[in-house]
Amino acid sequence: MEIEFAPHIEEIKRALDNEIDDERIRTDLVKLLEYRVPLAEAKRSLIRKYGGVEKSSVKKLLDIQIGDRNIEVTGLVLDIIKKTITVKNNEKTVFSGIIRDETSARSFTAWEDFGLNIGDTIRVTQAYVRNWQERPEVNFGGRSKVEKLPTQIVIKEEAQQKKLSELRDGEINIHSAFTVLKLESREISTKDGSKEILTGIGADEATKIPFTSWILFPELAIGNTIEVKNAYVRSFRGVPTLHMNEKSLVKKLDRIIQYKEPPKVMIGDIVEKEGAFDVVIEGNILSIRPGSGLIARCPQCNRVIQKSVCRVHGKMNEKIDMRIKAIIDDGTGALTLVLDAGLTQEICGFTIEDATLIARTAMSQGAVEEEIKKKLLGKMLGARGNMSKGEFGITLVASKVWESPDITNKKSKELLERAGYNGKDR
Amino acid sequence: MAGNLNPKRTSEFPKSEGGFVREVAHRVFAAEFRESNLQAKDGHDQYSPSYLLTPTGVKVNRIFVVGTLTEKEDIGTEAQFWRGRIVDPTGAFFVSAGQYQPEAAQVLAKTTPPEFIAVIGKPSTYTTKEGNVLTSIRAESLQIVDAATRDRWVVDCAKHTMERLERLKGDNPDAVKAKEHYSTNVEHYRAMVAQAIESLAK
Repeated sequence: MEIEFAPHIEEIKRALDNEIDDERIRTDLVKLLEYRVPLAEAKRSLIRKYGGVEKSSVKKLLDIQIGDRNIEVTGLVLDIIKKTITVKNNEKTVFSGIIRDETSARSFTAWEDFGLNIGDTIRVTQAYVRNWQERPEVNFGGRSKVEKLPTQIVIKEEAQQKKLSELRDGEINIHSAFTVLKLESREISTKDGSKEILTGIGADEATKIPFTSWILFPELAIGNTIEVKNAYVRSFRGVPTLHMNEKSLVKKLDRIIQYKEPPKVMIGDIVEKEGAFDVVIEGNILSIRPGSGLIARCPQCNRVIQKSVCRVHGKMNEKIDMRIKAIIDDGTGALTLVLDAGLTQEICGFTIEDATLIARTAMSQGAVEEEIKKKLLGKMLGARGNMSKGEFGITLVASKVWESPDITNKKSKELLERAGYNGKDR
Repeated sequence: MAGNLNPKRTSEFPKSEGGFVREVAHRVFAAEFRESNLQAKDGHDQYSPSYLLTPTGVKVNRIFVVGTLTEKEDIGTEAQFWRGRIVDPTGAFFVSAGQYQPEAAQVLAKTTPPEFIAVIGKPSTYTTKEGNVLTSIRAESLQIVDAATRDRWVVDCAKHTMERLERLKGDNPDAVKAKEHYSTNVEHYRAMVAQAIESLAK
């Protein structure tokens, strides 16, 4: 096998500030390759051997993920405070704060004193990302190099303001605007006693999102268009939710942002996202998954159970329920559509009692699943609901479902025109 | 390098079964499917999915078709092996279901043609001694449907095909590959789509 070594040697030398001569690197590299070490691994171990550091990969703050290591970020320090924490019975001083670039703001922790101040623009290499209270946080450790840049990053006010569709789990310091569509107050119990909070649904031109406010801002009222600063995002059941607390600034706007209901979204587009709130899809049912039809649930925890035994509560008097788990596919993407008993009845035309009868007559639980297959497989359905990603794959739990209206004629005409027939030329 | 076959997916959705994403079922007309003969694979791993690249530049690993079952035949010697002919406005698909697709085979066994039928399956190809490539669908599931579902599929498939034809003008890698291999005649397929839709008007 012929390998051109020169470019790889160059690459290694770059990481080592050119201190080692070519021949030594070459001999080592050839040797490692003879021992069947993959090229990428060989380069890495040579860089380590000669004390160099691998080049950090440059990331925008929006793109960081828990578990990223050796990344390079550049941003503006928005906030920093000194904290004393106890690690293994030793007191340690760390600095935590907020860093922002043009894409997002994230919390960070510096494990050493890098002499950072609010307003500094810094470039950090060898940084890493850890999970801190269920959100990604940038960490600067002992190996990180922090360089203060002479030029300030100027982040324009407009660039900072985000559309609701752009919000990602774990983002902080969010500046956005939306209209309050739904609002209710809820009593929750915290460790300091009960507390009243507000939950609701907000929307900008194209996206709806649930929100929670830990403060009873008077500006939050149905119909008001609100500008909010310093809010943050947490995912709840896979759907990003906007949170406001005592640090958030809420202002009522004079203009009104009008939400336009999107007619439907392509499945291929939403499966790229982390989650989607209240979306409409349309596609064909391509598979009815096992676990559809009649199921038994534990009356205490609602888990699906087999043979009347719940894995938490043991032997229980099971509760019969009905549901459908189906693959819906529109040619751009596929996901699992979940319909509860009510929706199953609506689309298949039988109640839980009817289904029980079907199962009893056929003396098989599977008979109901067969019945569902007969009714739905291949059909085009529309559905509305929340999409989330989890260990069971991509799921849309429907709040509504319907058979697609028959608009074959209208669509045919449109398509013929698009194809350049029917007299029209394009 | 190992363990890094699809870094984007695994890192983005760490929870979803090692980055498993269900393959989309593509809508392709019989005339286009019949002319497809380019097998492609995404990775070099034995587990990477294989695709059939069609003349309009879509990589098909799963296909969804609704048409009319016109003929069926059990060509199995020991176990049952059913083959069916499913017709759409542009031509015919061959569909097969053997002992490893018991449910689909059963549907074929008990259905009397003609009947509207929905097919979800994987494309498969067979090269004859003369070097011609024959395409067929290995059925994952089959279901009898009504006429409205069949008409809707024709419209849906037409829409997807039109979108692919428009994409052929661009530099999408699959589109480029399809143009190189098939020298796709866009007019030919545009006429096919039009013919399919016009057949609905009757």
